[in-house]
Amino acid sequence: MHAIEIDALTKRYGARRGIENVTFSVPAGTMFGFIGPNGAGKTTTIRLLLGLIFPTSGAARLFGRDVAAGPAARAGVGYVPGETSLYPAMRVADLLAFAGRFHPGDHARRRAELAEAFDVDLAARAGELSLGNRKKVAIVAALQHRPRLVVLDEPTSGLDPVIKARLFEILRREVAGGTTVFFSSHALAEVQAECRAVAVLSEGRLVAVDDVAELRGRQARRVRATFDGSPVDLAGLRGVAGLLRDGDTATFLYDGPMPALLAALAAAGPTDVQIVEPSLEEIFLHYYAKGGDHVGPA
Amino acid sequence: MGAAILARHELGANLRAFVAWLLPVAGLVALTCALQPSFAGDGGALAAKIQALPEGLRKAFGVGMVDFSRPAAYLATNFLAVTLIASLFGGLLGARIVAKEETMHTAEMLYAQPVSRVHVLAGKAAAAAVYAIALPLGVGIVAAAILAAVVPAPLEPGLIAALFGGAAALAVCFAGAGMLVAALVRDARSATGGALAIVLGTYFLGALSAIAAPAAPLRWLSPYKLVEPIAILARGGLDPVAPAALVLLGVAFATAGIARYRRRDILA
Repeated sequence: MHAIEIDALTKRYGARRGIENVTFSVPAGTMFGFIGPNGAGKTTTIRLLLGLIFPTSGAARLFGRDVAAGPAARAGVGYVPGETSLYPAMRVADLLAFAGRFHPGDHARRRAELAEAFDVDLAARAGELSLGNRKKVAIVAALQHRPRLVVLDEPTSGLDPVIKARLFEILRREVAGGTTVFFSSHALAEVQAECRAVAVLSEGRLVAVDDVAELRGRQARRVRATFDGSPVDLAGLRGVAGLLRDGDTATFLYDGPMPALLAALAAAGPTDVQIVEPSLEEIFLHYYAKGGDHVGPA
Repeated sequence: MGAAILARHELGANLRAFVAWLLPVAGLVALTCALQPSFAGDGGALAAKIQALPEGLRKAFGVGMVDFSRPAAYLATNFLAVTLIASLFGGLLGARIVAKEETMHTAEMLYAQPVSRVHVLAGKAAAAAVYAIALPLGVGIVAAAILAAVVPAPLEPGLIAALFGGAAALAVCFAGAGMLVAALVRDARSATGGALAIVLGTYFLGALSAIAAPAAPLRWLSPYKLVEPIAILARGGLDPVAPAALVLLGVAFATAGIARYRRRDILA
């Protein structure tokens, strides 16, 4: 059973690109990552899934129901938008109750539990809240009715580390209970830590659907080495890509065995070496520059 | 279920705006009504001056029947402000109630809920209609109460109710037009600007049609002509077809707006 099925989904905004021919599915009861750089089309995909915008072509289904068929497909779905805006004049308690009314059942107890877990001030007016606090309210609103699918678009932006940890703890518990979590982010570390599988979007196209373990295994490091005098030739070292030289400094991505890199650098006698996790954009450029030829099964 | 949730929500969300419009308009009308005895006593000269105005001008501004001794006629002569304010309130409310979700960026959370856009907008339309009717009726109650307190002459409550009922029907009509405008444009500023243009533009078309004979056919583009205070007085009441037509027009505008919005991309 799939919670989400996206089939050749395309959205164009006139001449502007949205997403192009995106196809993947998300198994029910899993936490699935959806990653890509800013502007890759993640939010467009989510808005298509939730019926907020309409596809140019293709289809999307939630638990087998065509999204285009109407609001029934969104029953039992919780959504945390990337840019969380709330009715500024409403008190948080009223706002959460309002959001809960769209879903059958009494959610008061669950709402209170979540508000306590996320340290949400129920008496505050939404207009007085910071970005992080607005995000926490949106998370409580999305989870209060025990959804079977939670769609989160950049849910951790603005959250402090303690609340982030609590969010993932609660999401893990929900997944254990059968809920599907669709987690869109540009923070690779969070996706790697929490998700079993990921879909990678770049420039509106799906470039990979991978197991997270696979992605982690292939992850490169960005290396910046400064040498006394002209830098040594590292192009011959296996796993080096995108080598740039600027005077006595060499910068490159490396995804080979670490001892081999350290040995090569040590032999050249560097004056300074930095080995850091590259930005997601760098990883995308490194692995997915060819676009579309890396797609594999989830 | 969704429509009822939204109607309740919008009634709460727009209560302050409603009160903010009601109080000054009711105050203005109360003041006007309180002055009726003075006009009834000394209004002869003023009535003569008004009667000396060109007929077209009197018709354009609704001062065609000058009899300040009758409370209803006095009210009708001073009814332009109520008509225009009720229409403006209806038009702006109808536009804002739809457009604000995208301007405030709350549309994404709202329309992602498992409720159809038709139900969401129907709930919003119901709330807009309630307030569009409540404003002129609230002002009418205040006017009737003040007139009853200060005027010794018979009150003619049927005529007063007809005047405010006509204004309420106009407000509903313009609320629907406001919703349609909001469904056609992207932001609240354009929506409220468009609604304002329709409310004032159709008023001036009606006024123009009364002033210049060649422009007479323009009266068909002005909803105000269906519920003119002078005509209500002359007829001795409201032709039931007129408010029904205005309400139906408002419902048709709102329905067209909902149909347009139903397939619109929510981008904010």
